[in-house]
Formats: sequence, structure tokens, C-alpha cells
Amino acid sequence: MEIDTSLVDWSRAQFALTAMYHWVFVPLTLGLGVLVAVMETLSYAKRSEFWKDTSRFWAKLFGINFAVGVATGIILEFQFGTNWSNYSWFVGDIFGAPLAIEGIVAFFMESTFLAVMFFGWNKVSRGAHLAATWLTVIGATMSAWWILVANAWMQCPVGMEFNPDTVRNEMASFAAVAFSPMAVNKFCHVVTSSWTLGSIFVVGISCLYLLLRRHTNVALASLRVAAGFGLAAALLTAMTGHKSGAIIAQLQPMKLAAAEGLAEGGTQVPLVAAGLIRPGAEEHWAAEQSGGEDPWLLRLDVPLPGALSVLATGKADGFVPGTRDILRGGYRLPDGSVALSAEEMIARGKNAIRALADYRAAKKAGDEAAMQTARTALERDFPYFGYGYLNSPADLVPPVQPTFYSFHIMVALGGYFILLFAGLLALGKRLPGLRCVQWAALLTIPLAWLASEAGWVVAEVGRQPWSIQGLLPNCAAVSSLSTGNVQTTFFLFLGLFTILLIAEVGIMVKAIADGPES
Amino acid sequence: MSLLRRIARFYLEGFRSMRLGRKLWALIILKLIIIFAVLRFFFFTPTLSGSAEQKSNTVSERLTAPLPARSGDRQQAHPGLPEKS
Repeated sequence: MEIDTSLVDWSRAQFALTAMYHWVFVPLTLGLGVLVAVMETLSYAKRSEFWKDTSRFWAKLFGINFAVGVATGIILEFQFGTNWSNYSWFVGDIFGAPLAIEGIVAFFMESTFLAVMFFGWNKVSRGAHLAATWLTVIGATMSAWWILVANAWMQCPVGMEFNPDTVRNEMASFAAVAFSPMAVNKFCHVVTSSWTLGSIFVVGISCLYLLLRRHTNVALASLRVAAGFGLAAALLTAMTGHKSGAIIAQLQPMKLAAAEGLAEGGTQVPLVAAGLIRPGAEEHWAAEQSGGEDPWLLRLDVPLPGALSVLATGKADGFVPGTRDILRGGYRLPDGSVALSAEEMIARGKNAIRALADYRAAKKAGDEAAMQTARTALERDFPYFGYGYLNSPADLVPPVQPTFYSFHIMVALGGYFILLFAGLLALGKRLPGLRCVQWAALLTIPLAWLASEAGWVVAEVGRQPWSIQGLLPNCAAVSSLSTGNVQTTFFLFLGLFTILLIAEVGIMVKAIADGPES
Repeated sequence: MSLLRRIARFYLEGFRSMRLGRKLWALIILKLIIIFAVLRFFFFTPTLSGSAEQKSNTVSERLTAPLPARSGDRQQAHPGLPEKS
């Protein structure tokens, strides 16, 4: 396999590595936190010492995960300033505002109540402790909200105006940024999928205790709560995922086409259930002409006619563009306008870049009339600004294979999680005797992380080549650094995060081995 | 005052009674030292410097002038300023 050693790709690899390691910790914090709060609520409502001890045990595992994972996301912010300085300046306060709110309000809220949650057992009233636990969980969830608002803006930049004097995007509507459909749905999908992951963790560890025939009362009680909550969370994840597909079909059709391996679109398009792509077939999706060698070694469609059309448009006869349609343009968009071809968008992008250069030159020369002319041209073509940095239409097609496989792994595992939770609930009192089911639940724990990380691969790889959709591709967002610098920090992080992960797993395994009574 | 003292005592007693927490705090402090004292100062210095105006000029120049082609780049930065159309 050939390894691309470019600065852009190393910078991307470093960001991906850091983000994916960071994401090992975050969904467990979000998911396990809610389950701890639910169990403590049961303890409060029933005045039950059993539920108090049970929630305290899961809170200990929550605390370990929180402590190991905290601050790992800060490194991502360092990378913005160092590796992606053009991007950092260009996004202006749009990106800075949600991150600042996340740091100041949500993180401090989370940290303050976390202390009460861990130091306050038997020191504050049961009600005050329960409130602290819920506020910790709400704080963690609010943190996720602001981070996801920032991410959603990169996927769908709204609520801003570009200022050619500062070369920055300035926020015109906070509400448009914070409550864009992309942000709201992304938040719902990510949080519910994290609840699913937390439930799988509790179910899996409970089944481990059943296999070991230890702490069976705690295990069975935890399992009932986690399976019920997990089933609801997994169904919500599926619903928000479906909504996500519809939003992406409108705002990022190239991502949807890549996720489905769809080169030539149409109406009544089927949904691919599973597939195997021929290695080296990437050019198929960017080819100018229809036809060519079949990229599929194996392909199975969902036996429902027009399922992808229904997902994307709500109608079986709705048109879904493939990657080649998007490059060619000329099809009708949901708002009734006609899609521009990639070449036209690249030409407009080049005009926008030229207009920015003209504006800056006119400003330097003090030529007001030329400034106004350039500004008008820039405002007209700014939505295509980023396209001007691309060399050819083919650059607009993301890597199809990782997007396709990640999407289908995520969806398949999501379906499996629903069946698992439903099966565990249906088995009820028969579960303690079914060791194969207990093993299956235990072995599902890593699959929950696989599904969660795969979701982010779809979201981020599927939107390549963009740092900010349509406005700034990676090649223009990256800093002028030596590739060697980025390679050095890449391997530094790889070592650091691997040590942290080993520490987490080691401390967690010890705490699980000690069990609830210790 | 008494409330502040109670809060301070709450935290002090909490820290004193920690068992697993001591190990976790040691890990957090070590991690923060690595992140802020090592990574931040030696590996992650911001590449844009100067006043806001200088920064906007720098980014403007980078975004509107041809960037040097880098060997092996999949996207060769942008291909230079386009002709007026």
C-alpha cells in the first residue's frame, strides 16, 4: 500500500488520530453518566441502599473514564492553531464562541458537580447528591452540544458573513449557528448513540459478572435497567440516523452518494444492504463517462424498492444524485434550482478568490470604487470560495471505500444493538442460565466503540476535501509547516494516547475485578 | 464565612479520603503537565503571530497568492490566482 506523505494528509491523520482517541472516552462519559443518574434516581425514589451501592459502583467506573479522558480534547484545539492556522483565522469567532461556551460554562458546571458527586456520598442529603449527579450529566451533555455545534457549522456553514477586511467569517446569527438542523440532529444522534454505548458497557460488564457468578444481584438489576434504557436509546439512534440521512441528502449529497457507493443516481434508487468494493476502484466514482468496469465484487440491496430514495427525499420516486451526477450538475435541487456542475463551481470559486485579492489590493491603494466592485463580485461567488482551490472536479469525490464501509458497519451494528437489547429484555429471568447470550453481550462491548467511531469516519471522511463545506478545502486550511514536524507530533500522540488507553483499561479492569462490594 | 469554611472542609475531607482517586488525580496532573508544559510550548506554538491586522494580511496572502507546491500533495494547494472572467 502506498503511503501519501504530504503535509495535508499527515495533518489530517494527526487530527483524526487525536479525535478518535478522544472519542474513546467521550461517549462512555455521556452514556454511563445517564445510567448512573437513573440508578441513583431509583435509589432515591425507593429509599434503596441496594440501588445506592449499585449506582455508586457504576459511578466509580464513570469517574475513572472521566479522569483518564478529561483534557484529551484540548490537544485538538492546539492543532487548530498550529497545523490549521489558515482555517483557525478564517472561521473567526464562529468556531471560537461555541468552544469558549463549552469550556467556561459546561466544563466548569460538569467539574463542580462532579466533586459533589464523588465526595458527597453520606455528606450531603440524598436529594442534593442526586441533583449533583444529574447536573454532572447535564454538564457533560452540554459540553457535547457546543462541540457538535462547532462541528455542524463546518459541515454546513450558516449564520455568518464573510468580512474581506479581516478575512474572517463573522457571526450574523447565533441562533442560526446553534440551532441549525445539522447541529440539532447531530447532537441528538451523537448523544443517543452514546447512551446506547453506555448501555452496552453496563450490559456487557453485568454479563461478565453473570459468567463469573459474582455480584449476580447487582448484575441482573443493572442489566434490566441498561437493556431497557439501551433499547430506547438504540431506537432513538436509528430514528435520528434516518433524519441525518435526509439532512445529508440535502446539504451534503456527495457524502450520501459516497456512503452508498452511488456513482449514477436516479429515481427509485435501492439502498445497499452490504457490499464489497473492488480494490483500486476509487476512480469509478469520479469518472466522467457512465459505465466502466463494475466496482462491486459483491453487492446486496435492501429488498425494498426505492429505499434510498425514500431515505433521502421521503418519496420512492425521489431523485438521488450519484457522485457523477454531482460532478456533472444539471439536476433539480430540493429548492427547485438546477445544480451547477463541478467545473462551474470551481470557476466561480476562482472568481471569488480573485475578487478577494482585488479587494485587498484596492483597499491598499485606497480605491473605493474598485473595492466596491470587488466586494460585489466576492459576495456573489463567496458560497463557492473553496471550490477555487481545487485542481479538478475529481477532487470533490471523497474516499468512497472508507465512507461506504464505515456507514454500513455503523448501520449493521446499530441494528444488532436493537436486537440484542430486545433479546435481553425478552429473555428476562432465563438469562442467568444462558451463557452464550452472556458471552455475546460481553463481546459486544468493543463493537459499540467500533460503531461509534465508524459514525465519525462517515461524518468526516465523507465530507472530504473540505475543512469547511464549500468554503475552505484542507489544502487551503493547512499551515505552512514542515511535514517532519507533523510526523513527529503524530507519533508523539500515538504514544501518549496509547499509554492513556492502557492506563484506562488497566484501572477500569481492576475496578471491575474488585466489583461493587469493595 | 462559615459556608466557605464548610465548602473548604468538604473538599479537603474529600481529597483526604480518596483511594482510587489519588491515582486518578496523579494521572490527571501528569497529563496536564504533558499537555500544557511540554506539548503546548515545544510542539504547538501558534503559526500565526502579530496583531489582528498582521494576521489577516498573512492569511489573505496565503489564500490569494499561489502556495508553493508540496511534493506528494494530493491536492497541490491552489493552482495560483485565476484569470479574471
